[in-house]
This record gives sequence, C-alpha cells and structure tokens, in this order.
Amino acid sequence: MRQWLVLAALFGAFGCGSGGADDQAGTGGAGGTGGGGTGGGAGTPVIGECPPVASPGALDNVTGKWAYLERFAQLAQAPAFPDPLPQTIVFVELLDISGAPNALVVEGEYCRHLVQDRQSLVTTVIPQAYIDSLPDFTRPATFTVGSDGVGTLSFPTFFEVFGATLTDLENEALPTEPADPRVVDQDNDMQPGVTIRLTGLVDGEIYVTSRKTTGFDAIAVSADRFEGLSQSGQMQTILATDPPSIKDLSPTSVRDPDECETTATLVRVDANADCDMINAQFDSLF
Amino acid sequence: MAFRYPDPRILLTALTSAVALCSPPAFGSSAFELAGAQTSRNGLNSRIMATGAEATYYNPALLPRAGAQTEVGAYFLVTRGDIHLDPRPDNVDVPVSIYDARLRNPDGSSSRLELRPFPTTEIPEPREDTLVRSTSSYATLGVAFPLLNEKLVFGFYGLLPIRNVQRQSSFFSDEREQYFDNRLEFELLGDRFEISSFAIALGSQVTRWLALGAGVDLTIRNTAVTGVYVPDASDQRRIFLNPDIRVETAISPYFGIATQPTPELGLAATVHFPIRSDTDGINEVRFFNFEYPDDEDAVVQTFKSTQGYEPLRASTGASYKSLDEKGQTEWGLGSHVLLERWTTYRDRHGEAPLDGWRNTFSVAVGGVVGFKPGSLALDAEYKPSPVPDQTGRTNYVDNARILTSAGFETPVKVFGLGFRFGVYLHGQYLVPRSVEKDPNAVHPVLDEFPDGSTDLVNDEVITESTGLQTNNPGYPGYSSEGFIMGVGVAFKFPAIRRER
Repeated sequence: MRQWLVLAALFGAFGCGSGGADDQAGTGGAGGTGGGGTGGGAGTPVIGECPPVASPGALDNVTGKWAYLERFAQLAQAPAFPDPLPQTIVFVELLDISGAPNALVVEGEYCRHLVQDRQSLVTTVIPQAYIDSLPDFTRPATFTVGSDGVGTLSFPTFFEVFGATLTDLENEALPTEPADPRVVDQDNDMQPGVTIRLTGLVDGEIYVTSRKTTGFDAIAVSADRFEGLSQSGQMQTILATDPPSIKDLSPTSVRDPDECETTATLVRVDANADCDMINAQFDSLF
Repeated sequence: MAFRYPDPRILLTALTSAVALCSPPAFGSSAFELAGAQTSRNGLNSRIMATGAEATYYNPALLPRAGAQTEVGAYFLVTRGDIHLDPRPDNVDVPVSIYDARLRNPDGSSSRLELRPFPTTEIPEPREDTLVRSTSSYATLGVAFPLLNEKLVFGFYGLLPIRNVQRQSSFFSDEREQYFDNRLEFELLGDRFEISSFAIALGSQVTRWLALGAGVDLTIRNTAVTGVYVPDASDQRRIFLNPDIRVETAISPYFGIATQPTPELGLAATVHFPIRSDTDGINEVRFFNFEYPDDEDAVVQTFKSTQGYEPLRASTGASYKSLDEKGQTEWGLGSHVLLERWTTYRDRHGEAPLDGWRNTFSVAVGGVVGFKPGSLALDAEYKPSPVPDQTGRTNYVDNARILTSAGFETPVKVFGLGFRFGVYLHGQYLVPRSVEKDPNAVHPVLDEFPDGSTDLVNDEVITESTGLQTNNPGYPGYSSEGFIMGVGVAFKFPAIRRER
C-alpha cells in the first residue's frame, strides 16, 4: 500500500526533533552531566563506558586538535506506529583548542553530519551540500583538574542556527514558513533552509531550519580522549517538503530517556589532521 | 397404465432452457470471438451461415431459420504460444545506485525520481521467454425456441469454461511488469479464453425475405470497497479487512439483419457494441493514531481493471446454397467480413495503448456439402492483428491469425431417439512476428535511469546513468508464434433441421 511509504517517512523525515515552531523537542542545555567516576587508572584506561570511567592524571594539557563526536538520541512518535522509533543524530567536528585552561578558545569546523535511523524502513540522508554549508564556529571552553586528578573539559551551552538568520540564537522562534525573510537557502540548493533527504521506503526531501544546542562536561578517560554525557540537542521546524504530504504527517520527537545515548566524545588527533582524515578514520577513531 | 419415461430430449430441452433462464450473469464474449462457434457446422461463418442456437450470439436474425433447437456440446482447446525474448545488451541494466539517485533539473536543482525501477539484479522474477502450454475445456449450451412461430424466436447460447469458470490475470505491457511476473503475455489470448459467456436474443422473420434480431451480452461490473485497518504500521503483515464486493449486471446490445432475396441467396449484417468487464476497487485504509488530511477519515486507494474488452464489431456477408427437392442443402457457400474497432481498446488495467491500435477487417469463407446421412463443412478465416509493431515502450504481444474449422454432422439414434451428432475440428495458426525496439519510436522505451541523475548525498552525477537503462522485459525485442487446436462434439435435436 502506498500509504505505508508515506507513513514510514515520518520518523525519517522528522526524527531530528520536529513539528511546528512551538512544539520543539530535542532539548538543549548548558553544562549537562559530567558523568563518570574515577577508578580507571592512568595505566588502564576504560573507554566507551556509561557513565564514563575517568582516568586520573591522564592528561593536563588540552590544547591542540581534537576530533569531536556529538550524538543526540531521540524517539520519534510517528502516526500509525504504536511504538516510538529511535534515531540518533551525529555530528563530527574538527576542533582546534588553544588558550589558557580557564579560558580556552575552541575553533571548530564540521566534518560530518549524519542520521542513524535505528530502524530499517527509512534512511535519512544529510546531503554533502548541507554539511558543506555548516559554518565554522568559535566557542569558549574550560579545562580543570580536580583534586582527584580527573581532568574535566567543559563546553558551556552554545547555540547555532541553520537555515535561517536570527538575531537571538537562543530565544527567537525558528521560522515556519518558507517566505519568512529570515529563511536562507544555506545549502544553496534553491530550496528554503537546509535540505534533508529520505530514501528507502520513502523518497523525498524536507526543508528545515534548525537550532543546535550543545553543552557538556567531559572527563578524561585516557591521555587522548574525553567522554561525557551530554544535554545537547537539536530542534527543527519544517518549512516545506517534497512530496508535500510528508509535512502534513507531523510526528513528535522527544529526547531518548536513555542518557547514555546522548554523548560527547573527543579524541586527540595529529596537528596536521583535517576533516578528510577524520572522515576516513571515522569508524575506528571513536 | 404403464409408466412412460419422458422423452429424454424433452428433458434435455427443459434442462437447457432452465440453464438459460437461471444462468449467472455473463462475463463477456471474448471466448465467442476468439474461436467462433466451436460446436457448429460453419463456426467461423456463423454471422452469415448459422443454422442453430449459435445464431443467438452471432446473428440473431438467423434464429428463425433455426426453428426449435437444443444443443449440448463440449470442446477442448490446446494452446501453444511462444514469446522469445531477444538477448539484452550488457550495458542496459539499471544499477543499484538507482536507490541513491535524484533527477537533475535544468536549473541545477534536483527532484525525486519519477520512475522507480528495481536494480536489474534485484528484480524478483527473472526475465525469461513465455511458453504457453495450456488446455481449456468448455461446455456449450444452446436453445432456440419459437415463441410465436417464426415471428418471434427466443435464443440462448452459452459457453462455460469447465475448469476455471472465470479467470482474470492482469499484467502490464511495459516496464511496470518488472514489479510483478516480468513476462510478456499474449494480449488477446490467455485469460480471455477463460470467460464464461452467455447471450440471449430474439429473432423475428418479419417478412418472407427479411428477418431481424436483437440480443444482449450480459456482463458484470464489479465494485470492491475494502475497509482496511492497520493496527501497527511497523508490522505490515497484520491487518484487518472488511471487503464489500458488489457485482452488477451490465448489458451490451447487438443486432442482426438477414435477407433472403431468393431461397438460395442470403445476405446478412450484424453489429455488436463494445463490451468489457470492469472492476473498480477502493481501499479505505485506517491506521492507529493517525490524523487524516483534508477532512478525510481514511486513506483512500483506488484501482481499476478491465477484462475481456471487445470492441464494436460490424459484419456483412452473403451466402448461397443449392437445395434439393426436399429443401435440404446440397451444398452451400458463405463469406463475411468483420470490422473490429480496436482503436478504442482498453487493456487489463483499463489503459488505452500508447501507440494506438488499428481497426481490423477479418475475412472468412466457408462451405458445406450435404450428403446422406449428414453434412460436412469447412471454414477459413484470416484475422489481422490490431496491434502495431511494438517498437516503443509497450509490449502488446499479438499475432495475425489464420483460422480453419471443419464440422461433420450426422443423424444418430441413441436409445431409439433421434439426435444430430456433430464432430468439429478447429485450428488457428499464429503468424510468426518479430519486433525490435526503435529509439526513434513515437513512445520509445523509457530510460528508467535518466542521464545526469545525481547522487542524493553529494549531488554529483552518477556516471552509471549515462545511456539507456531499462528493465522493460520486451527490450530489445521479441518474437511470438504459436497455434491453437481444438476438437468438439455436440448433440442437437431435432435431428432433422428445417432449412429455408
């Protein structure tokens, strides 16, 4: 039945935190959890645990280049589906951290952005044009070493808006109509906002604006790795879709209550590293 | 007083009449037209030479000549048809990258694919030749019953497939067939042989030299409204259905006229109006936790299918016979031409062919020789194909046909009762035909992976899209041939037919 396909699009189409301007999901927040206890020991780092297991004394200097993996997990409740459908939004960034520990300057660029649909019906595709259009950024951070020797890298809440130009990135409502003068064709594909594509059972495009909110405390789990649980998230408004029927079927998305699914991971990379290298090593790097 | 068993011929007449009156709605006339009157003496020329109940369908104006008659018969058809596909070139497969493709627009933007072919390697059914090896068996029933002597004669003629009373087998005649059986099929054969066909008519000898007749094909029109509830869209194997299927009767009339300027010479003409059996389907699909757009309370799906389309048919013909002093036929000849208006054809999905079909003229000739104790008849007919060379997108497979039939009838006595017994042979030769696809055709084979298609991730041109990629099973060409053979028997009474 043809309608299956439209339905199946829902979670793929809107899984990134969806709905109208006022029903945003995908929470953002400052600070977040630092997670983690100590006990790994400098000589026996434990990585990938939830919560992270700190490695006291593992490192005392965070300046240099880091590959940064952001994972936002959410549940999309699509019409006609009794159970919410899980989805993970992934950003990979190259960070260059400099400055004093209490006043770090983080210069970043986006290397990769993808959506991991944890179901098999629809695949959400982030076109390369979208990724290429994501602007470089500069944000503050701090690094502290506690009395227990655990190093903590803190990223205060930081707001970015894609597909629109807003005066107040944190509080101003995202546009909901393509004709809104704040909407820009950021990925230069002659469609409003930025474009997300669907493939699989559903084939289509969604034109969105989005507000990405990141903030976390990550602890050193080894000499070249930070891990943390994050309160980051992303909210979106849908400006238009192709086919139009996708827009009429608005599911709601909520943050995945499993806090271990929304994480921040930083891995130190070579000073000459660039996005090509990070993308090439993506599967093994994190 | 001793009990007397009723004359079994009377019982047979009563039974046959009951079937005529109580028969289910007819489904079409395709089987009548495909092979002529299989259990009649000049079955391919029945529009001009009918002498029995078969006149009911072919020319009801000839019913008065038949007088009171009843027939019960059976016949068997063997169909052998081959469709051989030409080998595909290596470079026309649709690659798997079609899944990641978008169309590039002239302004540089991209849009969704309009066609959604399978990658050739993932087509569920392999592309193969079609080899038809089928047998069909039929029962024929016929009654001609004078209501007011020759002034008003009622006729019934029915043909009932014995194994499959009704079969409808749809297929697409273009690249859409890749989603299903991925085969080419003979457009005007196949399930058109398996349609129950009934006709009723009245004929009247208006004057000594003029007879008129009118009848109807009774066909059915189906409407299927199915309520569907989907409790869990993620589990598409579990649904609840409430079908509401309605079968309505529709009629298609036909008319005949026959004149007899002299006892030896007969002229006749017929017109049969188009007939088709349509099915209109509506699915009203409802889902759990779902808001329907535009004030609807269900997602509505519609479909349509058409079976056994027969176009307007008009014929005219003449016959001549030599009669002996008792009025019996010593010999006779007849011929007619049949115009079939195939330009209005609708295929099994109710679609008009992209490349319009042609109207056709068929020519049939026949003869009969009377002798003691019977008669022998021979017929021949040529039926051109209405289907133009399929050099483009569509693959309507059809062949011109050369038809022959022979019939032998003789009086017999069974348990002391007089019948007329007939044996009939039928043959059709499907004239071999080959077609090659032509890129310059008016509606050429579709390039299912348009040149310049771009990758949905990086928007770069997918080089595999260059050139023609198609899963059209008829590409790059095919050939078709075959034959149909049949044999039939019939009992008819009264044993001696009055001939005029």
